[in-house]
Amino acid sequence: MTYLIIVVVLLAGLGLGYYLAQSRASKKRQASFKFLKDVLKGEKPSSEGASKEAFELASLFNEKISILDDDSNTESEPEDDTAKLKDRLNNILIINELGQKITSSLKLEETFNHLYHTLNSLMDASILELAVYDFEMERWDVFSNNEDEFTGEYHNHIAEWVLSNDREVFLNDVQLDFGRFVDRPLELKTGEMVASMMSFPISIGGKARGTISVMSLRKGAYDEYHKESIEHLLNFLAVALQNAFTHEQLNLLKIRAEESEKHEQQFLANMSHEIRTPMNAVLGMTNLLLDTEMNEKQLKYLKAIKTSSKNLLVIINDILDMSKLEAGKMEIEKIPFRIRDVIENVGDTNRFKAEEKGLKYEVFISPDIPDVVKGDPTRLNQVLTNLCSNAIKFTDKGRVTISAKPSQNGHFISFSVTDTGIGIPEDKLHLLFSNFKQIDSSTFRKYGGTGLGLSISKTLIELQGGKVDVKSELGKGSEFSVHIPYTLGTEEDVKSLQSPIKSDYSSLTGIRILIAEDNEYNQIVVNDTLETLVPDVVIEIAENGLIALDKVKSNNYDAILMDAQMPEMDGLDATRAIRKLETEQKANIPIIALTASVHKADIDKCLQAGMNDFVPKPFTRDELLGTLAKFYSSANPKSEVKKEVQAPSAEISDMHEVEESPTKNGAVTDLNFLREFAEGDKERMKKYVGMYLKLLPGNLEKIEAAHNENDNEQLVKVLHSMRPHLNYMGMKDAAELAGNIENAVREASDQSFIPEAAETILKECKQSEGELNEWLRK
Amino acid sequence: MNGLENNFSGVHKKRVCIVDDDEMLTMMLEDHLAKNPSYFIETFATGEEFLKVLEDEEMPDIIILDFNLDSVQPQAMNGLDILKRIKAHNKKIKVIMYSSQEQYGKALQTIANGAVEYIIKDNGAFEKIDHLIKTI
Repeated sequence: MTYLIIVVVLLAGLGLGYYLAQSRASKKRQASFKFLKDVLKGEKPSSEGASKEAFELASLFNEKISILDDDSNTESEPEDDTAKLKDRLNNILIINELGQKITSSLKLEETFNHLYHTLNSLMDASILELAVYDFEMERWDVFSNNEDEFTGEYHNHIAEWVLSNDREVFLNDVQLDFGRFVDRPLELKTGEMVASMMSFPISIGGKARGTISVMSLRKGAYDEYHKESIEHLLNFLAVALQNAFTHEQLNLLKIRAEESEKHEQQFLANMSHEIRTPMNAVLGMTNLLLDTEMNEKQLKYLKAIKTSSKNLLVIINDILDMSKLEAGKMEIEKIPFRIRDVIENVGDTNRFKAEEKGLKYEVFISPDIPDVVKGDPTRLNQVLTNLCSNAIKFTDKGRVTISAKPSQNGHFISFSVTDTGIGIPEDKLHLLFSNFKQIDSSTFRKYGGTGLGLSISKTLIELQGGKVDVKSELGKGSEFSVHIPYTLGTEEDVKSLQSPIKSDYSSLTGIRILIAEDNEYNQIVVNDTLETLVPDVVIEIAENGLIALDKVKSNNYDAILMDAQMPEMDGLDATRAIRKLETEQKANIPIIALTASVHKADIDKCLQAGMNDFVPKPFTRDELLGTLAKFYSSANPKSEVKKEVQAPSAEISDMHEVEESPTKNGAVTDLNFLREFAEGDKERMKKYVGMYLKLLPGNLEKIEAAHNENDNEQLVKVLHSMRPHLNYMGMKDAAELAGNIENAVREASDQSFIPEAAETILKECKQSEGELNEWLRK
Repeated sequence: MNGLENNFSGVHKKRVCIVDDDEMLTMMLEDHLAKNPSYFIETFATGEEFLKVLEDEEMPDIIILDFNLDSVQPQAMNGLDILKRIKAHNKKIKVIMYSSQEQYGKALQTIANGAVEYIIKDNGAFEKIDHLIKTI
């Protein structure tokens, strides 16, 4: 760049020199010119480091200098040359700037616009074409300002020749010279003919990928400098093309990634079903076999199969859980449960394993922990079981202790599993919770397992807002602790928890069941399990939803066990169809989903389709029969059907009755808002109503006092805090009056209506007391 | 969502404090919000009790504050005072004010003092508060 500036300066110098020369004596003139020439000669740079154009200009200078020496009449030339050189410099600068713009565009349309604007300031670019050839699709993408289009197809266009031959075309009389390239001259649809044309190939990686063509309707429109400008542009154009290609590819990749993610989620869901269905058959058949007569060897082998299948199920669940966690699809429940129940359950599974190994199994539950908390009992069970079974696995003698106590700050509950096992080296502690890594490969081979358990446990705990930590001493033992923040629940919350119905299923005698299930083995498992355990059971099987629907229409059943996924018509659609049947008894038949998925979302879908409850696959006998028992009792074959169920296997065993609004009878209270707010949970509603009634007497006293003393300020204070309560109990009139009173006092407007309004409020409140107390008694 | 990223870096529960002397409302609001397992909810019946919490190392994330809070002491610390105290302590804590009063002026005042929103204690309040907590 600096060289060019020097060159410009020299230009000026040259001009000045010539002027001087004109006005001096010839001898002096000669001397000055020689001087200038020498200076100029001295300034001539080597060809490295200078651009081609600059070098050409330098040579041009020298040329001009030697012409001057000849003393010919070139008075006007230097000025013309000066102008021309100035121009060329300018052009180069412009082309460079244009180049910057187009290499920063991502879209060829943008590039074309930049080109069109700029080139027209440099030359006659009446028609400009930027064309890119898609080798795969074998078609051209042309960006052009010429909407008229040419007659004939593009492949008969000179640009096509340019691309195929990877050579430029420079014609100042197209009519004359077209024959070398195409069959006929370029004619616009308007009838005009292209007269001058420059067309260049744009190459990426040595291969011509597109062309740039500049055309004019005049002959002789282009000179070497125009050509030079476009040539200078080609590198930039190559980059622009490359950018556009890359951008397109990135877009495609993005779309593909999004689709693959969707597929992945679908895959997860399908996999879960595909895996659980045969597992259900294996476990179910094993159980049925165990009920049959067999010799000792058969029993031994069968028990081994059962144990292995259970282990396999644990591993499968781990892997499915891991996928769910990684996909961010794990859900944590918040339901009331008893901590003791969970710990007992963990003990049931692990105590035997420990004692088999000769270890002591101890449980220590602090009396200070709350009885009932709200959280996710399933996941807690999963984590504690994982920790316990690890403890047992890695301990050969001594004991395994599980304990629960409140944490220091009282907000958390801390569970610990302590063992006197082989311990963990300090430098490996941090590896414990990562996927697939066991402490070393020898432990993996010796102790087995997926290595996923701790990692899953850690994530499950953290999802609930808790923490895990571990202490260990090699050779002495380890202590794994889990701290979870739970909110408190009350006894009332768990009253509605279902107590597990143990093995007496005689209440199911005579039940008529329709099984809708497409997998042959699962059909057998369900059928035989029921036949073995339930006296006088009547069973029919439907292979898909359509057949199930038909059977329901023509026969009577007491309950349907419906697989969610079936061909032809799946469980959800079949359920919806059944719910629409005309015969009320048939439409209301209890439908229990047999579901491979334990996603809350999928279960919700089942419930929304009209199913009453669900049994997960693989199921235990208790799960299957216990759920059926909720809907059928031989003492009362036509039991009412539950309409609203939230977490069916954990809550509510009474039937809900649909309540009527009391406002029909001149009542002041209306519990519709409260009912909606509590999502139909009557126990919850009772809690709120109870609270209202508890606070009511105190408020009434204050209102009465203020009313009697005509103390409006005081009155407003009480009414202000009471107003939301009145609203929630549906006492709209009282609430409105209270509002009016408040406004009147605040705005200091007419307050004469207040005493009467206060009396009305008092009256309505007293009436609400009676109404709500009666409602509570129902 | 990036399904391939390791999500194992722990999930933070939102610590939500309800400061209101209205026992019934507090109970209903807590029940409503408790449906979301990622909230950890605490309730306070007086401003004084609540202010002790500000001394905790783990700041609460969101505070739902009654505008007309009565206080035990004679120097009544009403909702606005507490709001100012909270903001003075830590600007990052989000405060939602609510009240039975529909006063435009008071509402502006709370917003001017840094409250996120001013909500009327009507039937739709619970939903609004739930939605707000999710979005702020």
